[in-house]
Amino acid sequence: MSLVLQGQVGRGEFSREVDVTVQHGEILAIVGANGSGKSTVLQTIAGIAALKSGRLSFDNVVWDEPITKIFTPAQDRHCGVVFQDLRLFPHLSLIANVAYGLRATGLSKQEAHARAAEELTLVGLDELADRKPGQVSGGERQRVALARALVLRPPVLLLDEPFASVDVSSRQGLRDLLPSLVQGYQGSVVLVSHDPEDVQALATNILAFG
Amino acid sequence: MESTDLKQREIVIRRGLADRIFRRAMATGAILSLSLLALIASFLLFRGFEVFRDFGFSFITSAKWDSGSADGVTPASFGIAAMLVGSVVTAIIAITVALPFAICVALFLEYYAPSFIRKPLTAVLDLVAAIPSVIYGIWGYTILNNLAAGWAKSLNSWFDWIWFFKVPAPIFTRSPFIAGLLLALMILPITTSVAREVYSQAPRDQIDAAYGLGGTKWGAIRSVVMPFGRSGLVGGAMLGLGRALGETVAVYLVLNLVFKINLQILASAGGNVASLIATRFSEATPYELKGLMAAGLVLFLVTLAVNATATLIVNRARNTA
Repeated sequence: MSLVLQGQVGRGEFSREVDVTVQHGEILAIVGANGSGKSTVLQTIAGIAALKSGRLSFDNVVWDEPITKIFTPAQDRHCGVVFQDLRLFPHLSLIANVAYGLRATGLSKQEAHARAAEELTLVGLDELADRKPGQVSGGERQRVALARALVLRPPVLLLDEPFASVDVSSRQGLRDLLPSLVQGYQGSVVLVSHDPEDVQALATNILAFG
Repeated sequence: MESTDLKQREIVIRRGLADRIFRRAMATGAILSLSLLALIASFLLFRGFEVFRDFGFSFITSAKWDSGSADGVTPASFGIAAMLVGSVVTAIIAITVALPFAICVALFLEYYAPSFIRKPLTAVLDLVAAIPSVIYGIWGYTILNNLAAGWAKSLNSWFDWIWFFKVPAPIFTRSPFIAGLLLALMILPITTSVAREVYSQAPRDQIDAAYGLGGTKWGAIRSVVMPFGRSGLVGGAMLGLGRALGETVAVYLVLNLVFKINLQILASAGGNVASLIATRFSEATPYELKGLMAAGLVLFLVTLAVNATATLIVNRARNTA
C-alpha cells in the first residue's frame, strides 16, 4: 500500500522523468537543485498540476493517468499540503485558516473550529487563534500552515520546503516540533527541502534529483 | 579609520527626441482633459450662478420646478430635489439588479466558461456597451415597459405591505422600477468588465492552496476569489452607478416625468436630473436655462464624486492585489 508516481511531470523544458514510491508511515525527502522539478512533483501528487505521461496512484487507486484520461481532482485526493510560500488566506483568522480544509470535507463550522483549535494548541498558537496571518510572525505563520495541513489527517502529506520562510532560530523549533506532530501518523509524507539538516532530522528515505 | 568624503552627485537624465515628444504629447493630453473638465464645471457654474444665488440651498431641497409666467405675475421657482432623488432611486435599482448578474457573468467567464464560449460572450458584452442609449430607450419604451409592468404588478400584489412597493393608482408603466431595470442592462457591461478584471487578479497560488486543502472550485471562489475582489467590485458597482446617475435619453423615454419626490418605485412617476434637462431644454426661458445649467452642475459634481470614489476603491483593490 503506497503512493506511486512513475512518469513525466512538468511542462516544456522543465519536464522530467520521475519514479517515486512512498510507503505508508514513510517520510521521503526529495532533494536537488533549484529547477530540478521537486516542487512540481508535489504539485502533481496534490492534483494542482497534471502528469504529462505515466501514472500516479495511491493505494492502487489511479489518481492521474493521461493515457486513460483519468484525473482525480485535487479536492478528491485529500492531500495535506504545506506550500513553500505558505499561502495562508490573508482575510481569514488563523483558526479559520486551519478549519478551511475541514469545512471543505463537510464538517459544520462549530466542529471544524473545535478541531482546528485543538490543532492550534498542538502547535502552540491557541492564544492567537483569532488573529489574521498578517498579525503574527513568520514562524507562527509556518506553524499555522503545518496545522492547516495536519488537521486533515491526510493520507498523503506534502511538505514543500516547510521551513524555508523562517529564520534559523525558529527553524530549529519547528524542526523539533514536526516529528512530534507526525508521530503515529500512518500516511505517506513527501518532503522537499534544500536543507540537509531538515532532511536528516525528518526523512526516513531520501531521493536526489539531479 | 579614515572617513570617506562622499560628494553629492547630480543625476542628469538625457532623454531622446522621441521620448521627449511622447512625454509632451501625453502631458498635453492629460492637461487638456483636466482643463476641459474644469472649463465645463466653470461654464455650468457661470451660467447657473444666478439661480444658485436666487434660490440658495432650496435649489437642492425643493421639488418644485416652475418657470413662472412670461408677465412675471407667477415667479419662477426651481428645485431639483425630486429629480435628484429620482436619479439616486433609479441608479440604486439599476445597481441592485445589475450587480448579482455582473458577479455571476464575471465568475462564469473567468472560472467556468470554456474558451470557445468565453470569447464570443465577452464580445457580446462589449457590444452591449456600444449600443447607443436612445436604442435602449426605444426598446425600453416599446417592449420592456409593458413586459416589466406585469412584474411590477406582481411585486405590488405580493409586497404592498412594504411602503416603497405601494402605488397611489394601479398604473405600473413608466415607473422608476422600469427605468432602473433598463439602466441595469445598460450598466451591466461596465460592471461585469470591472468584476472580471478584479476576479482575474485573484492570486492563483491561493486558489491552488484551497484545492490543495480539499476545497472545491466553488469553495475556492467563495473563500479566495470573492473576498479578494470585494473592494474592486464595489468600485465597479460605483462606476456603474455613476453611469446610471447620468443617463439621459433612456430614462427620458421610459420614465414619466413628475416634479414630486417619489420613493414608491412602482408608481408611474419620477425623473432624474439628466432627463429634466433633456425635457425642458428646448422650451426653456433664458432664466430657466440657467436653472438647468445649475442642475447640470449638481449632477456633474455628484457623478464626479461617485466616479472619483469608485476609482479610489478600484485602485486600492489593485494595490492590495
